[in-house]
Amino acid sequence: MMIWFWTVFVGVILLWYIVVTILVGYRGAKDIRKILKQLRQASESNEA
Amino acid sequence: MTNFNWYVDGVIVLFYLAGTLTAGLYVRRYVRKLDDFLVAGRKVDLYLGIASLSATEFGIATCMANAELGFKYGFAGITPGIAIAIAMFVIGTTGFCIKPLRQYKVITIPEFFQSKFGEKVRWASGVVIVLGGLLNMGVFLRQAGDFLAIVCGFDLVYLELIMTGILIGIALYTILGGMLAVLITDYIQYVVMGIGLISVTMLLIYKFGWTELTQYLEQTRGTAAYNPFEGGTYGLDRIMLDVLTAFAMVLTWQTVISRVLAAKDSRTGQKIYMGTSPFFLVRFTIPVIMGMSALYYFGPELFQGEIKLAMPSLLAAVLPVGLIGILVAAMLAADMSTNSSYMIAWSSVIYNDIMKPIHKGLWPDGKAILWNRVIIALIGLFLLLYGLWYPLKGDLWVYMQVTGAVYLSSMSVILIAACYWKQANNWGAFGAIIVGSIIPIGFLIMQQMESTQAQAMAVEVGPYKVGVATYLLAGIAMIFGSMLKRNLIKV
Repeated sequence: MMIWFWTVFVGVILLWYIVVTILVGYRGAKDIRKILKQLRQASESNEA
Repeated sequence: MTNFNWYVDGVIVLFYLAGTLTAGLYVRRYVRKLDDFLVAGRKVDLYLGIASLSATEFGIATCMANAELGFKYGFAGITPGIAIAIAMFVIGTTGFCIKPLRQYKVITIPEFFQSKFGEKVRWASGVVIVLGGLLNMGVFLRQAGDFLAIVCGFDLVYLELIMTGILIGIALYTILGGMLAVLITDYIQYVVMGIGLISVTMLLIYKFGWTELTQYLEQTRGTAAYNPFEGGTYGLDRIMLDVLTAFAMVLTWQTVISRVLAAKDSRTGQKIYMGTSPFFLVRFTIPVIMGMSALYYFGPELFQGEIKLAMPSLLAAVLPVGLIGILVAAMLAADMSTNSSYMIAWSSVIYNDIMKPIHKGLWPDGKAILWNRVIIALIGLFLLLYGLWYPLKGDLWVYMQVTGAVYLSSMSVILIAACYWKQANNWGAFGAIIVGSIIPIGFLIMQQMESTQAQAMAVEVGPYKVGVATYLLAGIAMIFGSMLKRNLIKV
């Protein structure tokens, strides 16, 4: 019984990790572009 | 023996290192103000926050510590991860403490305490946070050196050189780019770490067979390896400490809470917590599988006393050329993100809270950033010296829990009181700080002295009961101190 619990647990965890690594890899890059754009704009408006 | 090949694996690692350093150094041009340096201008969105928090909280020391739990306790070693995942999800969903904290727009937790308990509590909290944090982080570098020396096949005489090299690389981009460089490199490290950890775990399960691994675990560790409550191996006192540490860590550990403080608003901060919570199951499950595989490969006797070295020895022996390079890049990624985040977290507390009586918040941003850079460099120097001479006794994970308790116990009690108990005052806060730091530091000293070592590790005392007692007594000190002051004022 406990072996089955841990087998399912490990399977779900690994599957979640694969999906989230791909999702965060894609969406995180967008977040970075956004944050750099905002900081650049803030810096330009300060200089102006 | 290792399968690490300098022409194939070495190139993979160098390619990764060059990419990370370039990205980290590139973003330094965006850092203009102190807020940019310490909290990335408070512009962090959900996915970058998840990547950064996950990468920060998984380093080589954590991986080795958790693999050691897997080697010794089997699946029961995942218990702390379950506790942290639940704590993070509950706190993320409810916004317990983190919502008011983010709304105050503070950089550190002690800054928040000042509004409730005054400047002296802020200063004392800063000291305790830095003390606990640096002691905790002090062993990271040596573990990373041990891991890399074994997996890459370096002679151990080069250990100090490896440690220094890693540290200089990390310090360079952290000093120049601050939190922004930490976030960008965390993102790269999250992706590289994910690829490396998933491939290695799949390979280990494929190579040894899931049925064989679990059957061997039952033969050597018994059914307690599947149930932490059974057989007294893992134990109830340890589970209690895991739960208390989990909630306190999620509420107050500066490297964790700084992601909430850097989030663009409190709702995003809460979502980052909810989204990252399952990662803490990964953080324990994958190393535990590595530890179980090492147990299967080497047997229970070979690494007596040095169990934490079993996992890197296994990986050096079984991973093929190419994959071992990806693994080293992944583990370097994990370690660099952890160290850089920890360095900036403790430097922000030193500057923002401990040095407050000197600069009074009046220094211009340029001078403030310069001082933060100096502090980060000094933290790096401390890590190098402490990592070289401190002899670790007992479990690596237990050392991290006990050193963490130096500040987690008092800070979590004070934070909850500051947010939700109107009668709390500075006497109670000081009581919690004193009790919360004296007990674990006393335990660490007892562990190191030959005359008291046996008592410290005895079942009647032991690190788990000491840890649990620290949390409970810090809470009692908070209540007692606050009531005492109120009653004396009335009289």
